[in-house]
Amino acid sequence: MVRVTGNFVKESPLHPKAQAALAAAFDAGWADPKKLSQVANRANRMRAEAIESLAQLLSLRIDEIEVLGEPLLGHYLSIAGFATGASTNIFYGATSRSEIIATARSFTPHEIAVGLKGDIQISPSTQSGIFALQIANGETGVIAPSQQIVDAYPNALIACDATTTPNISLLPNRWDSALFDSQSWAGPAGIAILGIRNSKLWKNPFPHIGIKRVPQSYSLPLLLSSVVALEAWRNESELRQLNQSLRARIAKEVHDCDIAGDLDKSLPSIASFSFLYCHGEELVRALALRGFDVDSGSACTSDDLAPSHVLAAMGVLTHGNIRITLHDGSTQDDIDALATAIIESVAQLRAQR
Amino acid sequence: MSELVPGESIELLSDDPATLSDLLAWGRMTNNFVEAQGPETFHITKK
Repeated sequence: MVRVTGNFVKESPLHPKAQAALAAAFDAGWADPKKLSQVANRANRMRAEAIESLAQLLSLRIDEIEVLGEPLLGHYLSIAGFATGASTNIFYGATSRSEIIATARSFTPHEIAVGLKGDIQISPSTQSGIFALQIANGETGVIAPSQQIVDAYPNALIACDATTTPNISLLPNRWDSALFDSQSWAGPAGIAILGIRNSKLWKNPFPHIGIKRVPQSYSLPLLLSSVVALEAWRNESELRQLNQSLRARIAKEVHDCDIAGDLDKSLPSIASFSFLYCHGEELVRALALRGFDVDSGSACTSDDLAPSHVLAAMGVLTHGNIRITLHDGSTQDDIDALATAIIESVAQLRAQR
Repeated sequence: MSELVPGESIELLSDDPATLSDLLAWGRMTNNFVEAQGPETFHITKK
């Protein structure tokens, strides 16, 4: 496993097997699988094997699988493919990805509030439309009560956003589309898997000529590499203990700190801390100087100078926010060093004010 | 805030879009009461 010391941002290097597969795939899989030549034939076989493997690992049927080369488009596709018009109701939690919120607004949006722990405030509804169901939040790790939500909306189609984890045990027993992202299993960026379970109601929402359900212009070598990464991916439950020790130490040794969401209802690998009397950007820089790379949800660290809508929707402090992602292979020593760096950096920054 | 007695308020003016959300969070974390009086005006009352 390639480990980058001090890497606690969301992204991680490719698994060495996935990296090797990428090189081999460019050698052998550059051809268009749909054509008739020998190299095309070989590419077609490689693709078929990859799709079979995906079907097994994600518990999908082969005919349900579509591969996307522009993952963020999947958020629009997974919903719009079922939307019958601008008046279609789209239900979504306030901590959904901004691409989901934007898609909902292009139809008839129904935003559902979340509580301080990121828990979605669900009450039963007989309304029809589409529920854009976020399986687990990418900033806080908080896992939604998917089955409860699905049961509360019996007349709505379910479009799952499963882009933050390949752990299919978190999916509800009923869904109509499900979007997975290669980066959630340390695969290469640029590949997403869209599962279309309800193909009867599905209609390709992009202007198109022909029968394709989605534009099929992904990179085959990237797909092959992504599947190898998924095959090598280990359920990261052992990270939960490390995460717990990090949260416990920060909670104990730093005052005026908000931790976003409870670990027992979250993915094991994510922790988000907001510190009063601290700037997110300064904290990220201070940690970088000590050799630790982290993400942040604070306004000062974002492109549009807007604070994380996820944290704001929960009522969690957005100032002084850092977000940690634990990667496969992280050790207790790594976590201890990270915790010390955070504690010291926050103290130093606060003392300077 | 340390100069206020419980029940006293101060008024905060801010056009920073993160103000309401973060001020409410701060109020929760430090046990003070925050109320928006308009888009850029906030009253903070020491509990």
